[in-house]
Amino acid sequence: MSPDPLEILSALLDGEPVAPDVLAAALLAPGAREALVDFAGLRAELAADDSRPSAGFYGAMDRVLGRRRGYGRPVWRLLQSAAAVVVLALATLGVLSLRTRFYGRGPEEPPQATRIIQFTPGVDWHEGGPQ
Amino acid sequence: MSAPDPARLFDRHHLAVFRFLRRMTGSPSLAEDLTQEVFLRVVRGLDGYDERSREVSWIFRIARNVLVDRHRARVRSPPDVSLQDAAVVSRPATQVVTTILDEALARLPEEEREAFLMREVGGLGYREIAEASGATPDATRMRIYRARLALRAALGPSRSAAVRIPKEVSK
Repeated sequence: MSPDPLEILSALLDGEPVAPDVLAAALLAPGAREALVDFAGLRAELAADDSRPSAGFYGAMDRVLGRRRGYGRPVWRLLQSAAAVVVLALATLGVLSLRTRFYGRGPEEPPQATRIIQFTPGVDWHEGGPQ
Repeated sequence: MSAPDPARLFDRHHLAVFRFLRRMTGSPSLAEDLTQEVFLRVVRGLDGYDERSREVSWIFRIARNVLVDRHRARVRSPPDVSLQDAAVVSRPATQVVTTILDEALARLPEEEREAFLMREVGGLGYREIAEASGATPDATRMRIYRARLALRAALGPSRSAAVRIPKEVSK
């Protein structure tokens, strides 16, 4: 019994191996071209399905998969960033506070002089400079 | 070699599984429940995953088992699409065609609808579908062909070819 020409085209559409002479004979059958176009149209119609599960489904699946994402993720990251900024600011203030406590002045003041060198015009300080 | 990451499997395949189950059951909310069950079983069964088979083939086998278990628990009733369910389908331009397609799919025999959707939505080959459903590749090819002919007859008045739907084949 010879195979149904449209069945050959259906298998071809599904990526099944079809001998070229069998395919040529199938394409010559009445209505073969229309059938092939309709089969492809069905595939396109199903491929156009963009239905998606609800947000509740994704929340439940995130719990199943043990991961965070969706609405909570950006908020969590924002909180982490804010906490990092606060810790950095407190650390800086702490260092400044310690310096003030030990040195008694702010870092913007120059240090106290421990030795004064005075240059006098006309004096050769290489030979007998101030002792 | 380590087992596949369940989160990655979910990201890659959950939409195909959901759409397959939605078409099989006619209900988005039920399809959500069943999809969740599918990936619960995926997580639990990762150790038993056979690396020789494709991920999608393995997951659709699980999806089919979930469907079979549900059918055993309850005789399937005609699709009951609620307003909430209908809102999930977000293609108003093709809504009419989608409805006709859904109705035509619902009228198909279970095994034809299953084989056809595994092929078109899941992208499985005849051998993979046959392994999942317990049929032969030849029977699978015939089921898909019969489904195409029936859907074509239901969807398009422009079809001029005389459509001959073959009789049931043995597995």
